[in-house]
Amino acid sequence: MQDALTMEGGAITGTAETQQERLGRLFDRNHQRLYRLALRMTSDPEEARDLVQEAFLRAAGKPDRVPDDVEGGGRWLVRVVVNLCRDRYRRRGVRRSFRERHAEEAPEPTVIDPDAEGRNVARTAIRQALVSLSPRRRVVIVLHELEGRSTPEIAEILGIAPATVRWHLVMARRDLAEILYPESQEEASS
Amino acid sequence: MSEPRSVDPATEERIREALLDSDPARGDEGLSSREVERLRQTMLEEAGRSGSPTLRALLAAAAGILLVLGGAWIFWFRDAPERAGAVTVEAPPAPTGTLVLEDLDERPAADGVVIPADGEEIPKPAVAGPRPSTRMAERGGPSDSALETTGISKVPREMEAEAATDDRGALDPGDEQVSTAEAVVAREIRFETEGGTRLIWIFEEDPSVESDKGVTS
Repeated sequence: MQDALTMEGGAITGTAETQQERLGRLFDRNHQRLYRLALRMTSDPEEARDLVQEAFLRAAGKPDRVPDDVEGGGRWLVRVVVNLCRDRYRRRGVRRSFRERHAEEAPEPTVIDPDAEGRNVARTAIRQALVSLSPRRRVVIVLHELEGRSTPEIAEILGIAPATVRWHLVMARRDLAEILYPESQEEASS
Repeated sequence: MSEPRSVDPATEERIREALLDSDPARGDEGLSSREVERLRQTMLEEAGRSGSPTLRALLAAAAGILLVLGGAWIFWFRDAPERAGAVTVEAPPAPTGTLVLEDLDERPAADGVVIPADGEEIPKPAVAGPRPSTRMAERGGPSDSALETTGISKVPREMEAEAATDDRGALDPGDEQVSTAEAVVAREIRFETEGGTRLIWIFEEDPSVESDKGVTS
């Protein structure tokens, strides 16, 4: 149970908020945002639902660890989703070098075609390329490119240094470029 | 950490556009109201199961109390027969012959009783018929009750048998001696002390012989 003290007319009055009410508020504020993030991380709606549910169940199991403020609670949930992605990533045994993954699993380099069919193929290739990144790089580029968050914001959300965020951002772009635009990378290296 | 080689700005822009174009969340309706309700309910049920820290602490305390009560209950049942009136009989302490021997040495000899001094060899009375030790052996030695009253431990049967064998040279049935003494040994008590084996004979009058009362030593 959490007590919130407020000043009313110079007197302190205590209002009690139960743990369940606090968790309910946390859920209402974050479930759609968390689902979008999980969907962008996995490109799979079912897996995204699982991740969201698992994250909120962890919050329910250890409510003392969830920060009381709304923003802190949201950041805590994002980290849980990233950690869950990392666990799944490890379980799938895809901790191989990026080039090995690229050689075996990544789609063939696709030139983005303006026509509709080509666009669908391109979207699939881009999503697969994104999923092939490590969870940390994936969440950094998703938060930066798709949610429009700044480097300091991402650093605060993930609890890492801004320099680390920049590093992951650069590496994620380079990895994606090697998959999606190999010809430009060859020209750059030559 | 070295500065990674970045992509050129044009490629960076292409990547951004490609990601935005293929954003899985774009066009996705998100979680339906039904899914949201189910997720919310599941989370709150889980929170109810795990309980608050105060509730968990109370449960832990209750478990500890139950554990202590269970232990006390087990001990209570273990002692239940004694509380119900059952008597536990303990074995008496092992008797020692030393104290009795000291008393006997200092006690003046009474009629019919010979108490040997330390190291003194006691002449055996001349008796008619089987020797007392033989009779004692036939009777099975001193009774347990007699030994208990004196506090002397019973002599092992092996020692009695050995003593009887040693005396047998003069106790051949055909070589019986006719004693001038009146008394016969009614009881022989043999016990072990630190100084060696001690014997006490208790005499009584032989009703078949008419003579003076006396003590054979």
